[in-house]
Amino acid sequence: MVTGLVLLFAFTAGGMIWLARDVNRSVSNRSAAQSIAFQAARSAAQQVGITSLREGAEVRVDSQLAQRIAQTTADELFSGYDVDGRVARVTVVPPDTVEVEVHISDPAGNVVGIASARAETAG
Amino acid sequence: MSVARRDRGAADALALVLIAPAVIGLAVLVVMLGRSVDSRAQAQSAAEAAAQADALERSPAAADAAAHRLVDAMLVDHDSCSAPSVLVDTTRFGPGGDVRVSVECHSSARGIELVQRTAKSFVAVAVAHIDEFRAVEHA
Repeated sequence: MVTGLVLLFAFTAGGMIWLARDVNRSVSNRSAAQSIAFQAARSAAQQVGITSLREGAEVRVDSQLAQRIAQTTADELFSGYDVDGRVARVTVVPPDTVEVEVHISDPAGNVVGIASARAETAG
Repeated sequence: MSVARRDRGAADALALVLIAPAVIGLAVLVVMLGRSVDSRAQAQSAAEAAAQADALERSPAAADAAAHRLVDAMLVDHDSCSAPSVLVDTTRFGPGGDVRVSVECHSSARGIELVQRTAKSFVAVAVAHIDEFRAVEHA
């Protein structure tokens, strides 16, 4: 009976420690994924034609440039956060919105971050 | 009959003596793990906020000051995340660059000395991208 109790408590304690470590990593990765997606979307949404804007044209995001910049920014941030991640999707919704989805792979569980940013002029 | 009842009572008492410390230990362990998850989440959240705030500043010195101000304002819980220290890396500070913030804080052992003797430290790192069209003042 005593052995059984010791085993029961040992397994319960071990399980809780394992669960807490997983939750820790998961929380941290989720936060990183969301932050990376948001920052990649924000930097992509800044790829607007400045000359045409100064001439009073509507805000229009350059789709190809936005995709490239989102990828570059996300790659820099994956490395900065020291996580194994990839950009799953960069969608430019004409004329001024960019959506970015990033995935982070981790033994504790894969997480997804999705964010959207919109370019607009002041005033 | 009465001997059997007495034996069962003794067995129950023995079981209680064995189980009670284990249950208390398990409860303290739960508190420690909860505090540890909370500490990490608080440090990460403060680092993210500080990095975002830094990315909006115009000079490395202002970024450094903003990070310290924000972390000091956010991490006020003495049990889960006390005595925070902030490290701001502004080597890539500038339009299109990034700023990196490390926050270290300590989770107290108060009340959970049974499973954690001393304070544990947690480090969280966050990186923020600086806008391409942000104006920057150089010192």
